[in-house]
Order: sequence, then structure tokens, then C-alpha cells
Amino acid sequence: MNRFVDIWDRAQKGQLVGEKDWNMGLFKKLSELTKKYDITRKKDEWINSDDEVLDRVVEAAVEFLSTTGVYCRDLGRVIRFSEEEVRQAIESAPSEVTVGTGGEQRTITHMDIEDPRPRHVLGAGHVAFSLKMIPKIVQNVVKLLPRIDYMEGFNFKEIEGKEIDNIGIASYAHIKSIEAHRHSLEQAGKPGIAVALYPISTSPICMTSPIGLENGLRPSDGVMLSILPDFKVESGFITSAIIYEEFGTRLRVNGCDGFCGGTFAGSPQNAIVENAAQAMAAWLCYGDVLHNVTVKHTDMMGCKFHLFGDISWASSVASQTAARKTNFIGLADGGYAFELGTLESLKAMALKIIRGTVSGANVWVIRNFSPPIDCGVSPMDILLAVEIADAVVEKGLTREEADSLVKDWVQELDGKLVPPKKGIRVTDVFDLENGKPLEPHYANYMFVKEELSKRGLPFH
Amino acid sequence: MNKDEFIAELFDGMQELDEERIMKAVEGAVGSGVSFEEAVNDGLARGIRKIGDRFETGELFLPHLVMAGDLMDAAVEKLSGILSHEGETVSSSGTVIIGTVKDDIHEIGKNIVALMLRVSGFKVIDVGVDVPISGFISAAESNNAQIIGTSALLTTTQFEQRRLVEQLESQGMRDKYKILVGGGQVTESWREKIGADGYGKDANAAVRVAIDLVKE
Repeated sequence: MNRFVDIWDRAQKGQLVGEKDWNMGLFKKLSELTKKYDITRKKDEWINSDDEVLDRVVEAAVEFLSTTGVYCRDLGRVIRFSEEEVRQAIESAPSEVTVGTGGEQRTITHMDIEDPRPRHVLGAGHVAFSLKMIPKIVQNVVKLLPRIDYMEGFNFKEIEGKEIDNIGIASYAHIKSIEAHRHSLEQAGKPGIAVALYPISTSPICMTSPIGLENGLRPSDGVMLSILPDFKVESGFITSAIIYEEFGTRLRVNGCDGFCGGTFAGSPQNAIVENAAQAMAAWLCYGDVLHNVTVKHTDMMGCKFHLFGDISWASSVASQTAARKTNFIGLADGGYAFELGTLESLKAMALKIIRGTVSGANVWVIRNFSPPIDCGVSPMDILLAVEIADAVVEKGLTREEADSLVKDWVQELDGKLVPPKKGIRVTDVFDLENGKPLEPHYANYMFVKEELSKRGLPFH
Repeated sequence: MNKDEFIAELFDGMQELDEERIMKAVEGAVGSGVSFEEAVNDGLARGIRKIGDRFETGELFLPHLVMAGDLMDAAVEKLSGILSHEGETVSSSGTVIIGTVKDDIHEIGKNIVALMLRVSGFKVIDVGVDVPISGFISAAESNNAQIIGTSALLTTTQFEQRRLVEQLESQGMRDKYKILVGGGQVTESWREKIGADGYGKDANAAVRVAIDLVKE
């Protein structure tokens, strides 16, 4: 039987727990475990180089998931797993997944720390764009990037002049979104690139509406089914997992960071353990094979520079734990919270890409916060991310070298970070018609490359 | 201990989130000569605002705000039984209903705003996520709220914020409540478009706007 039917069963019969009790219990348990397993930043490192802490993170995460379970938010019940099941999940999770068709078929693989292989690339998506913008975004990304392993979908507010404000039209919008991707990829000459559905609505009806249609989702495509912050799942996502499992979709993506600050995980150390356990839970509950293996502070728009070091270290530990101690295929999002195309935003992205790449994660460029529609991401940003990742790999950068590089370079951002005014659109920084970046975005892109080049990274 | 020492003990105990220390101090309230209002406002409320400041700088985290709020509730309840407070009122900025709209399960931003409003002196009723319009309205009615705050992160769900305004208008209740909106896709122009009263782009802004709204 489809294994997610059992997950639904566990959710239905699990212990009833009030949400506040769950939230505060999460903080208490994670705090106990980070103390018990000594998950602490002992050196002034922005990128971790201590392998022993990775072992302790895994043990803390196993103990956390097997003693606490996962909270099914809409049912108010806890789904439980035994320690044996959790350890077996780490062993059984696939270390590779094949996506796409024809000449664009790709096998996305697990990477190790300082892995000498080029990183896999997720191109675009995960933000809101007008439906009419999608073809140009997709085509420009495909043409500009040296490689893409799969594309992620977008969400949008209206379709054919009508607001998307109920499940019926949201289902229609999901169908049209995938159709737009299919047509755009054909026009770009890459019809076989896999598309992973990004939810406009999280109802299972909407999440599965494009399955099997002529221009809809194929088994070689994917879907984003994320564990929620504070270690929660939704029964609707479990239902979607059941359906996608039957359809044969292997590319399932858990996009949730280990959040700290404004979540009930609390501290960055707690968020490391939570993130490690999220990957295990996402595989068990949804069959996710790709995981966001980073830690992020919820006040990402507050631009508090003094938090950067702690968060960066924690994020590197999260990525490295997945890379060195599990089979999970990691994604490190290089997105940022500052205004699109600015020097600050590109530098912040560069920090994340260098850190993620050297820590064994693959390249995923999305915005850190929810930008207004059409302000999400520029094709140039994704290109820069890929170029930086490739330079890190070609150089054979070690964690220690990467740590010195980013600490020295990113200090210049102190005092210069400004919360975004939510105004710069992708068309303000990139000419989608002619496929070229606009100034000063292009100058900023070149400046970042020059600065990194001076610091030893090879660009071609 | 004298009044100043008593107030300092409440403040410091709040910084330590030390329930035992605060409750022990409260037992000595009568002997200190402190009034109920002084104890609550100068000791506890001032202490919880400092907790909010420490959260803002990244020193403390969301669970600490929850603990501070629970600690304050427990201490105020105990003080009520010890100190007379007839005719004395605890300063309250007002009552806010806050939640994430129907079909939306995102709550990080909403949780932070709720707790920051609380440490800023508002009485906050958090109605959770995936809340229908009727849920917001009935909570506002039963709690005599001044403000209804709605959060929406998805492009599809922010239309519920407009429906709330329309529903209140159709029920002849629009003038009874101030409507505060926020969330990933929400902007000031959206607020204006739907006829809401306030927009908070982040937690700090939401608190400032809420304070202004109750003054109107």
C-alpha cells in the first residue's frame, strides 16, 4: 500500500495536543537537546569546519523526531515515529533523483562537503510574478544559464483578468501555470526540463490539479511539499503526497528553512537541529528528496548585521550535516532580503552561495521574503549564483578558506543594509525582451565578480 | 523591601523570566507600599517592554515573548488578590484580534506581531490560522475589540482581507472596528484599495500603526 496512507492514519489517530503546548514544547525540547549534544558555536567562524558537531546534530535530530513527533496542524494531533524508523529513513532516503525528459533529463545527486563536482541548479520560481511575465522569465533564465536541472513554478494573483480568490480558480491557475512553463520551455528549445509545482494554494485539489494533463505535470516533474515552520505538517499535503506517489513523481521538495528568531525553535542552534529533523520528517511524511538545508532568521528584513555570523555558522552546519551525515540532497537558498539588483543584495547572495556550495548544498536562488509581484528575482541573479558556485568548485575552496573570504568581504556590508522598499521590479533591472541586464544591475554583477576574483575565485 | 526595590525586583525578575522570583516578590507587595497600578505598569509592563526590545535586537526569541506574557498574566492575577485596585486600572492600549485568513496557514509574521502588540500593552486575542471571516468578527464582538488584524501571505488569500471589510460594511459594523492588514503580498496601496485602516509592513510598524489607530 502507498506508504503515505499510513502517515494519514497516524495523523488521524495521533495524540491530541493544543498548538500552544506544541509550540512551547518544541522550544523546550530543542533547547534541552542543543545543550545535551553541545551544539554551540565555539569559534568565530561564519562557515563551520568542525565535523564532530555534525555527528551530534544528527543524534540530536534523531532523538528530537523520535521523542517529539511531528504536529499535524489542521488535525491538532501528533504523528509519531520510532527511533528505528527515523534511522531507517536516513539510510533509505534516495541520494539521487532523475527528473526531466529527453535531452533535458537530469540526475540530481547528493553532494558532500567540498565536493569537486559542479552543483545542481534550480532555476527561478518560488515567488509571485504576473502570469504574462512567466514566459519571458523562463526563457531568459534558460538562455542565460549554462545549465539548469529543473525549474520551480511561480504563483500569481490573477488570471485572465480575474482574481484568484477561491479553490476553483486556484486549481485552474495551477493548471495554467504549468502550461505556461511547458510552452515557455518549448519556445526556449528545452521542452524536457522538469518543472516543480509551487503552490498558489495549498489545498490538495489545487496541488494536484495539473497532474497528467497534456501540458500539465508529468511523472518526471516535481512538486514542493514543505514541512511547515515549528515542525508542523498539514493533512492536505499528506493527501497530495499519496496522489503524487501513485502518479510516480519522485521530485518532491521540502523548502522549509530552519527558522530562528521569530519561531518557536528560538535560537540558531535549535534551528540547526530542527532543520536536520525536518529533512527526516519530510522524507517520512511526504517523500521529499530535496531539502532546504539552511538556517534563516525571521527578521531578515531587519538587516541586523550583528546576527549574520551566528546565522551563517548555523546555516553552514545545517548544510554540512545533510551533506556529510545523510543521503539527503541539499539545497541552499541564496536568496536575500534586500532590494533587487543592488550591490548589497548581490553580496549577501554571494555569501550564501559560497557557504552553501562549500558545505555540500546545491544552488537555489529565491528571495528571502515575499516580495511584491514582479519583484522577485532577476535572471542575472541566478547566473551570478551559478558562476560563483562553479568558481568555488573549480578553486577547490575549503571551508576554512571560504570562512576567511566571506568574513573579510562581508564586513563591508555592516551599516549599509537597508530594508527593501518593495519597489524594484525585475523589468527595472533586466531587459526581458532583449535578454540583457540593465544598469546599474549589470555593473553591480560585474563588481561582485571582480571583488571575488581578486580574492582568488576564478571566473571565465 | 521598599517600593523602588519591589518594582526593580519585578523588572529584574521579568528579565530573567524567573517565575519563582517574581511570585516571591509579589508576596511582599503589601509591605512595600506599592500600588497595584505601580506594580503592574512600572514593574511588570516596563519589564515586558524591555523583553520586547531584547527580542528586537535578536538577543531573545519568540518563545521568550510567550513566557514573558504568561508570566505577566500570572503575576497580575496574583497581585489582584493581594493589592486593592478598585478605581485603579492597568494601562491597556486596547484589544486586538489577530489571525491569518482562511486557506492560509502561514503564521510566523502573525505570531511575532501578536506578541509585540502584547508587550506593547495591547490585549491580544490570537485566533490562529485559516480563520474564516466569521471567526474574526465573532472574536471581535465577544472581546470588545478595537482592532481586527489580519495576515495573508499567499497571493490568493489576501482577498479575504477585502472580504472582511465588505462583510463588516454589509453588517453595518464597519465603524465599530479598525482594520489592520499585513502579510507578504500586502502593501499600503492594497490597504487603501480595500478600505482598511492600517498597514504594517513589519512587526514594529504594525505596533506603531495599532497605537495610532486606537488614538483616533
